Amino acid sequence: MALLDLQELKAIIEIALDHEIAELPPDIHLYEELGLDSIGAVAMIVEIQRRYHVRIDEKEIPVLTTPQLLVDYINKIETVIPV
Amino acid sequence: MSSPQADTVAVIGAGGEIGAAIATMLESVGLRVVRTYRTLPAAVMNDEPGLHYALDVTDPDSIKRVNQAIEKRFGALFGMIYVAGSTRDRPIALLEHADWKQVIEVNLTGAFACLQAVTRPMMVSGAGRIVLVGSVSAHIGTPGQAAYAASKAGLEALARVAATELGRYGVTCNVVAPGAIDSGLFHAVAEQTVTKIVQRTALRRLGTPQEVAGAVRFLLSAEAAYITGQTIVVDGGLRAS
Repeated sequence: MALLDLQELKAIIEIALDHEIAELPPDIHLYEELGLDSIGAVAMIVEIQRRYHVRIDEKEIPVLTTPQLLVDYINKIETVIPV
Repeated sequence: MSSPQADTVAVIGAGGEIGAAIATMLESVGLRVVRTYRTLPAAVMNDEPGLHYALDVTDPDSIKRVNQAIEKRFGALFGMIYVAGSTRDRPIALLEHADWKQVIEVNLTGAFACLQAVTRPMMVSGAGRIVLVGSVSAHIGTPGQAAYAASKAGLEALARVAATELGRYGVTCNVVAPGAIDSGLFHAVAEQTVTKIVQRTALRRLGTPQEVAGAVRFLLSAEAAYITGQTIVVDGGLRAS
């Protein structure tokens, strides 16, 4: 089981956004408030897959709108992709 | 035979002469080559398991199934070469919509679907080479080739967009655009027409499938790591003349 926390997710989102952010409130809207776009969202799920070997279904991206939803979702995924 | 650690590449549409030449050449440089065909040839039945698949590029389920099987056996692909192609040459006035759709479906939509299927593991692994086999027809208006030329021009646009989206992950995407190649498609062309085409090339001859394969091999080499979003035209100077 993956163990993603908000601090790690912040670092991942900074890669996706291509710039640093001061803080990552757990309920901030990733797209409407943080400015993540679809290209950034793909970068985020690729980076999560790289680090945690779990695959987020593309269909889930639009509903995983806050850091907390994302962390909860990732930590529930039990399928680990072999590397 | 490739080593167990060899990078794996998939040649989509290995049944044609150009696809077969590409597959053979990539094997000759030590890559593990997975071949897909519209119909699996009997001759490959006894070959190493997992290297040959029947694939219908117009069927997303078929693409998903084959891609999952390849990924399960060999992990993320290093390369994907899309050679599958179809043509229904007719003057625009006589071109049936069904023919237009079929050519676009095989040549362009199939390429998109295969590209989409292979890119995620490439992005995660941080490396990958995608080569789409286009055509010089995308650059030259040839009567009767509306659907074919449009589909091949579409491949070039697709490659440029893919290059911009995938570059940050170390994945390149390019097009190799053959001109008049001495392969199956050309064997059906009248000799007089072939002569006319040859006279339009700077090199005064048809190209060979191996010469197309050479350009693909280059794009998969370490020396081509900084080339992306480009089209390499292999046409003996047809476009330049």
